[in-house]
Amino acid sequence: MANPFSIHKSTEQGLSILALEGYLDAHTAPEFEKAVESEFQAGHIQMVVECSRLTYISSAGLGVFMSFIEEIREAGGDIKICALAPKVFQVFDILGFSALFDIVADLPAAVERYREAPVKET
Amino acid sequence: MKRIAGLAAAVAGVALLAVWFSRYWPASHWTVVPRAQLLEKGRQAAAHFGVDVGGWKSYAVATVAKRGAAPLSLRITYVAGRGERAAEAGFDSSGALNYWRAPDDVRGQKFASDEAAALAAFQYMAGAEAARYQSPRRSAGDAAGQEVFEFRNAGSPFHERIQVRTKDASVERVERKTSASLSDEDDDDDEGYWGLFAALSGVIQTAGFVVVLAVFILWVARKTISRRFQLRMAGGAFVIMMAALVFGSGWDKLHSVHLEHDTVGVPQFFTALAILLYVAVWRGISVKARPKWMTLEQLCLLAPVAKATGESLAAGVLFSPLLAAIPFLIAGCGLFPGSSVWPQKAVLLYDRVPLLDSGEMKVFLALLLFFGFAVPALERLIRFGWLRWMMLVPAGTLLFAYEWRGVSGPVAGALTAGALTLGLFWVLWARFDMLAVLTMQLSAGLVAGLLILGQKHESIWSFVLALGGMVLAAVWCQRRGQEVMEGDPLATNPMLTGFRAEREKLLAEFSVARRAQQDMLPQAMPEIPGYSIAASCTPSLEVGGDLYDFLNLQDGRIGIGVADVSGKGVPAALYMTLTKGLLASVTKNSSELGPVVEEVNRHLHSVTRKKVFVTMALGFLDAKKRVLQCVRAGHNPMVWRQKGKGVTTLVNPGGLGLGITASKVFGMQLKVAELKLAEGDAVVFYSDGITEAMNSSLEQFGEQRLMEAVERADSLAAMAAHDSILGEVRSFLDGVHPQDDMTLVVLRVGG
Repeated sequence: MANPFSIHKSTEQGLSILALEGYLDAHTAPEFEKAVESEFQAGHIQMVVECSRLTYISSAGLGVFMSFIEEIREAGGDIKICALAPKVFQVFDILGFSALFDIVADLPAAVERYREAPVKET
Repeated sequence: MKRIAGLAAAVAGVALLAVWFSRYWPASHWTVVPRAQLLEKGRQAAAHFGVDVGGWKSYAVATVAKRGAAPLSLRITYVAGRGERAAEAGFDSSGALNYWRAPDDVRGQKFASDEAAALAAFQYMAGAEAARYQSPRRSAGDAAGQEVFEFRNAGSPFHERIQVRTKDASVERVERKTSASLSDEDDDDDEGYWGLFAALSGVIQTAGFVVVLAVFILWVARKTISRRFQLRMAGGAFVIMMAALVFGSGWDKLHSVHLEHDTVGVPQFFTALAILLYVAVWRGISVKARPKWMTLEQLCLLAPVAKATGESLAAGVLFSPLLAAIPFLIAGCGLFPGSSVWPQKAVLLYDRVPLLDSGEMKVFLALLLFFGFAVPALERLIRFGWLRWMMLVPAGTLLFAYEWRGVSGPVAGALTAGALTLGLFWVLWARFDMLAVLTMQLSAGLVAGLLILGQKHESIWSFVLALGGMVLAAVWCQRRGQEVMEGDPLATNPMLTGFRAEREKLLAEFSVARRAQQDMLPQAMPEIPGYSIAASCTPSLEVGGDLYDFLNLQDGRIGIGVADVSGKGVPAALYMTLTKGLLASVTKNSSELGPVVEEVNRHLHSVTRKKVFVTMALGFLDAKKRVLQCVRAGHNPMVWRQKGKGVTTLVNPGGLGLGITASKVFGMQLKVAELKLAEGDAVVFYSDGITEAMNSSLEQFGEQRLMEAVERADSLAAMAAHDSILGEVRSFLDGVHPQDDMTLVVLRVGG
């Protein structure tokens, strides 16, 4: 009953797409953290985290989003989140992430959002 | 020291074997017939009786037909399809046919009458000796329509006869029987005291199976097995077991219903599997016994290269000649007249893969049961050492006397062999570990096999190879293995003595931390006139990141807070204490809900690492005015039950988690809700451990069930309501261990 988790990286129109799949919890969060960090180090600061196949996220998983967002925004980039399943969205929403992050319906909407506001206005 | 002991044991064992083997067992006793030749003879015999077994699968087993010094009997079984029909041919050790049984549903050649069929079969079997037999005695057989003809050898000093069973004028079974006694009774392997041993062994195995399976299921239910490590372990054990079955003779035998001799039955197989899983589940083994299983576990993880593994393998190989010598010692020492060596190990000669024969598997099973189940169970149940020994020694002696079966003959000899075997196994268990015990058993089989061969034989090389392979593996593990094994952080070298002490020290410190943390929670509920209140916090691990607290505010109001730190375990626990301190100090200066929370947020943001955050539900209660102000800083919404109106709602004002951002966004998002409470109302604060509690079918308890639980507790005061809600969560979990900390605070207006 090991909880499977995987990240698929791709790029689209200059944006770096991280598609998450499975369980993002305390065990798998370091993997996600490493992925975000390596994108950031490589200078890919405009990221989209695609969550259509993300089935569960724990507080440790949410922590990863927070740990980089300030640095990324300072560098002029952002993390936009898209395609959250309703249950997962609820977790983001309870914590107030909808006020901190651009959370949109799907990948095209995320691309569109980058055109409108490269960095979320807060 | 251990090295010297091992070498001494090897020398002693080889010396013993050299002396006693030649004394007891002259090479002439054995004429080993090559397997291929035997198969061909069986085929010819079948053809003679009108059954074509060409293309059928064949299995060879060796059994002892008669007790005492009777020769080895070899039996070939031919099976068509998946065991739909089976024929058997038996030979004595010189290769002469002494048994034939036609398949149940195949009639062979039809004769003019039953008499004619019997006569033809008899003549085939007796050959040139036929003249020495008397005319047959005829009687009815066990099956309907079956006729039994018995031809006695008048010239033999023993009770020697050829028995033919016929049906519908064709031959069903021909059997050459010899016994030392003059009675007509058939000698059977399992009569007398062997029958008793078999029954005892069966009871132990069945009981072990049931208990082990129950324990295993319990653990699965509690999800302790869900750790990736344990899964891998169980997977490895399964692979090894399946390989044993597929490559050994066991797998085919599982299918074939006709085979009754020396099969590993389905229950035995699953017992072995269950025990391996029991080892895999790890917690089944007490901390004390754990190092004994570590190398075996490492093997099951398919990562066997470690120094300790090498040591165990070497010990097993070196001690094995002693084990192999035991039966020869018993039979040859003169103390037990009538004892003879049970040539069970000869079974190996006729197996496609030596060592994976059912006989060997049974011994493995007995060993796993004894050391994996009986020893630890008694250690747990019985406190007195002497009483334990008084139970273990006879049980082990009987078990090994039967399962290991080194000698046959008088019971005293068998029991002595059992006791010696037990002693030797115990030495390897106590001085080394379980892997050494199992290796010794395997290796002794090889040594015995080599001895029995003692001359040219087609399969001698497979024995030499297997034995050499074990030695090589031992050397390889010794030279290339690591001191400390990888994988489980706890799986250190069992020879490191510090391991146990370290672990126990850590556990002790954890329990101190747990107590300290529990002490930090309010020890008594606040006394609020006109209200009742109850709260609890249950960490999932030793320490947790959940918190509840009550505050006496400067303006006379009462603060009620529930908080949850992201993550689990020790880091979460540290931030939990920090949060509690912050809340207490900030409310010293301010009683305004919004600013209090913003202040806590600022502090947390400045001291926590970026990815840590805290969610909090905080309410300030004006008891007289019955007004509760609440905020929800990223936390689960509170449940508000309005009894008078019959309405249950989630109080869900906006708000970010604490420590996420110090910017103005936090203040902008934070909303304060104001609840005007009425008599009988309840407000429930909780952590996500309650709503996300997951049962074995992966359903979450959820907000809906929580709200319904609160409604059902309408008539109860806070304490009883709290217990009833938590009771519903527990019965929903149905034994599954909670994955997250669970915190629940219930505030009830009135009584």
